[in-house]
Amino acid sequence: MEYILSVKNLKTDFVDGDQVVHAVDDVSFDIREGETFGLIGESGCGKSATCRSLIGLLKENGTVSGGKVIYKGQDITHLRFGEMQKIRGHEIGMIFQEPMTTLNPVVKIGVQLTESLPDTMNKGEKRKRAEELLRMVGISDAAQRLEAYPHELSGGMRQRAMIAIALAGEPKLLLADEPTTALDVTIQDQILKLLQRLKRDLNMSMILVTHDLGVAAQVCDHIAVMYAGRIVEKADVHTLFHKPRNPYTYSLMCSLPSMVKKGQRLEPIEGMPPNLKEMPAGCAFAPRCRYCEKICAEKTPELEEIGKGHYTRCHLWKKLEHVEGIVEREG
Amino acid sequence: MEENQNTLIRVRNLSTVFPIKQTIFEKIKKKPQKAVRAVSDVSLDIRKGETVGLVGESGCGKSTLARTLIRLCEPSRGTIEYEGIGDLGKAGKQELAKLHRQMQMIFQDPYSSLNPRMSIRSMFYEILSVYHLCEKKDYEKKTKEILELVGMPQEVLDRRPSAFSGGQRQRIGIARALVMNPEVLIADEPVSALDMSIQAQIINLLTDLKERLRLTMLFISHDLRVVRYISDRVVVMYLGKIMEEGETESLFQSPGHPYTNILIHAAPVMNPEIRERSYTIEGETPSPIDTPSGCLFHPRCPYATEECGKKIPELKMYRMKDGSIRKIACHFPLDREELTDAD
Repeated sequence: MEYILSVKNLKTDFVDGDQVVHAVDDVSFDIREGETFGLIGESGCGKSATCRSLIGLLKENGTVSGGKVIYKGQDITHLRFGEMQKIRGHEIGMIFQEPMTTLNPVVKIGVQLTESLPDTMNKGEKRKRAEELLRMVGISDAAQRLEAYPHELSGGMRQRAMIAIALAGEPKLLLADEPTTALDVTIQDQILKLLQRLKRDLNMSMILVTHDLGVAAQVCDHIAVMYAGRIVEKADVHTLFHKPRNPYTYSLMCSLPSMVKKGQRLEPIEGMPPNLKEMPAGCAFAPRCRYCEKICAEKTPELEEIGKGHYTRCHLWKKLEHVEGIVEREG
Repeated sequence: MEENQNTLIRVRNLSTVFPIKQTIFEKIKKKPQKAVRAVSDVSLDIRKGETVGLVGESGCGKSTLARTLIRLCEPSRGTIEYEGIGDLGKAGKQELAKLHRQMQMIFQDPYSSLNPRMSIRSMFYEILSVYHLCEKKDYEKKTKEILELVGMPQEVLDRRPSAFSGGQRQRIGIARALVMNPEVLIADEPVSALDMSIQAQIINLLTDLKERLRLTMLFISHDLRVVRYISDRVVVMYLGKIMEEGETESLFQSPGHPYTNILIHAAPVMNPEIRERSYTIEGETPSPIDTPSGCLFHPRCPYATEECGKKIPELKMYRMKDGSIRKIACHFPLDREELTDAD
């Protein structure tokens, strides 16, 4: 089996009052063993909802209304709670953005860590393994830290502890939802390096959800860019950054302050992302798109394969055919 | 030569200290009271018309410094001389009212910095009446003018903040600061809470307004890309102290303090070809209560020697190879060949 996880035409709906919002709309991607797959986009684009749909962690008003999630050949889309529990935390681990809200504030780190270890271990073994896990994520005085409460740790330490807990079940796939967004750059750098090292050492695959193009460029092998619930471009990391073929991806990259000379005006994307309750007809990005033509407002574009493994959702992608190398230089 | 005729705000040896409450037990035992030195012995000049970027990691004191300048925090020591007003640290009610006409602030979180119960109209009318900015009959005209200036349509007057997106709220926040027609604008992480596609809109707006209204700006951010783009001069803070200060491009091209160097290189680069970066930084920012001895950065500094742990480096002036003046607080600034003592 080449793919560890395949997502096919996933649809997730949220009920808000008497309205149904399509937060994830027809999302498909495959993850190879050992690779890091990036889901990038702005808030509300459905990247986190996609991630949560995969392992049944949607809030009460959300349901997967269509499509399939296939993990190692098994359809896990609509597993019952008990069966999902066997996969969640064991086969598929997850880390979240804000470690302060995802760790239990009144339970010691050690207890939170050992409770995710298999029951076949006795108490001593569990403790030993917990120490080992903390050392693995770079927490030095592991034995003492097991006795600490989350508030006694710094933000970076808490995120390390979160990662240790996620690794306790020895997952084959790690879902990381904005794991470094709340952290300072120097700590972000440490955590990203840690994740990459662990991924290699433990032979894991990873889905990284991020809004930061820099982070995505640094750690991902394949990337899907999402906008208003849909994937608008999907490619390997080199193709995506060197040959973006979707106006949204391209405009995002161009809007970075490092893309213009000092004194020149930035090139923002005008307007705002659409309200998912009142989606425009045709292409969702059309009202903000500088390449927009008549057809864009009339017909919804399909995700089209324009090169090997390179997909874009745009009627007019040929207008970007000669765009090259939207990358930053170092320093 | 440090003095400059255009200096608008002259900060000298400013410290802002937050004492930590003691328990009764500690009081009986007469234990020394601990304190967080959020800003520690900072001296800084802000000149008329320039944009100063203030960078550093969370807890480095950059926001506290800004809040002290505008007297949202009380300074514990040192002076803040504002041209025409005098020492802001000792300013009474009247001087503060004067100060707040000259200096205004916009905040990071556009959701918590606007009163959710007040319509845009009442929010602006309140400011206009409290500060007697114009006659009552002109309130509406003035409010509409200022909203137009920040690119908000006039129909929004009777809506409340909840009706707006983050980017729009930030525009309203900017309008609220500018309605006073201030000289100085302090922007505390004004784009950090916004989506990428909206960030550039707000940065463009701030640059335009600065130009048009001849504002002096103190721009606080942890995002070095933004700071590099918008600032003329950059100040780097760590644990309440200034580590380095200099002209933006020169500082980014050849950072003199190891910490600046690390900050610049720690941010991920949007380029899949540059993945393996040679430098690393260990450890985390120490607690601001028990700060390290000597140089505050020495426990994490890749170049630290024994001396660094003992002696506190002063913020000294250097002339860089490119001719610009730089202030660096380090015993062993990087690329030492490039530097000659200007003092």
